[in-house]
Amino acid sequence: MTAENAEGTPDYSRYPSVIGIAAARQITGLALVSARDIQSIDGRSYQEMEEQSESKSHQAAKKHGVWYFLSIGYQVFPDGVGVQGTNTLADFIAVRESRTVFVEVLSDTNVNDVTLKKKAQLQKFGEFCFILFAGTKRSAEESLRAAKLATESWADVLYFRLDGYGGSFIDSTYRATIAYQTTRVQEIRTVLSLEQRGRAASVSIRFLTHLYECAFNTPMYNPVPVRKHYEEIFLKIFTKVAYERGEIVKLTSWAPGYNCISCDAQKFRHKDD
Amino acid sequence: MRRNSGIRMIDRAGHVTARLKSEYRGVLVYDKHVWDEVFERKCSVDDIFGVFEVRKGSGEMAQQVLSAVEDFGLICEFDPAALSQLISTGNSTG
Repeated sequence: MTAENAEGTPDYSRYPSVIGIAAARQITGLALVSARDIQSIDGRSYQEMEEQSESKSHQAAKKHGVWYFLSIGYQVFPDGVGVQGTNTLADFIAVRESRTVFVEVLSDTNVNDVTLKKKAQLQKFGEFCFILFAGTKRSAEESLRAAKLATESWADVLYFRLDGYGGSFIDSTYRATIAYQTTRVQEIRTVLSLEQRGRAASVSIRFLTHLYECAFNTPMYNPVPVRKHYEEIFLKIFTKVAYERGEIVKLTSWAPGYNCISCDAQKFRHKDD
Repeated sequence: MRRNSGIRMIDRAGHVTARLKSEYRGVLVYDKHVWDEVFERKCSVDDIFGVFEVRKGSGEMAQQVLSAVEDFGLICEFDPAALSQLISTGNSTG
């Protein structure tokens, strides 16, 4: 995690992928405005106002969000940012290979139509990703959950899970296109092939759209191969089907968790070879 | 590679209805190591398949897999003719 300076704000100076506003403007080709350059009536910048008034959980979610985007290969401008002519700011902006993603951390009180519509103005200029809270009883309230799920239909959503035991973290969601080599318009594509093999039938899934390395919030110093992420998704689908059928899934391997369906490539012997 | 075991889905009567296996369909190459001689499979991300081997009610399960994939927000391409064929044969064998 990033070091912090005396005021408690993260110090990103050691990270080459953390860029300044000039570089962000150049990469995106947008007339970006930094929150540090917008002055309020009392002379403070919007960034200073935000830093002084934001909650600890918002601050933590933003810090983890910046780290997450850095870990999957984005360049990040970590301060508040908007586009000239729009009256709204995102918490930071992430760019990668002609993708521009505005990222906004929204606390549960701000998950409402007014705020969401205001933030959605930035979708004209790039992709939009919300970081919403999860993991507490209040953040899992039925109405809030419905609002959060509805947001997933028009923007990417990552969940910042507040966990008092294991530590808070950005949870993995499989439908957030920011983690894939695609955009929201192009969607995440898979292909399903169906085949009868004797008495059994085989239903195979393959990803046509691929994930970025370390896509599900795995540390950069210990990268997890993309295949393990796919296996995790296959297992989640399998478990979901079993749940809907009222059946159980029995893990037969010695290995814990989703690793039970992955083997090292060198141990493999193909029946057809 | 096709593992024999996989992860099993078991119905209320204790019968295995489906298995999940990961298949790596990359090219198998011979590789001589210091201590061992092994075959290694060179896989790209395009060679990774999640295979649901269905024993009972294959047509129904194929539809459930499809809807589960879509619930995860993924777009799924498939051959409708193959699905209807699986439904007809799956129901008769299932």
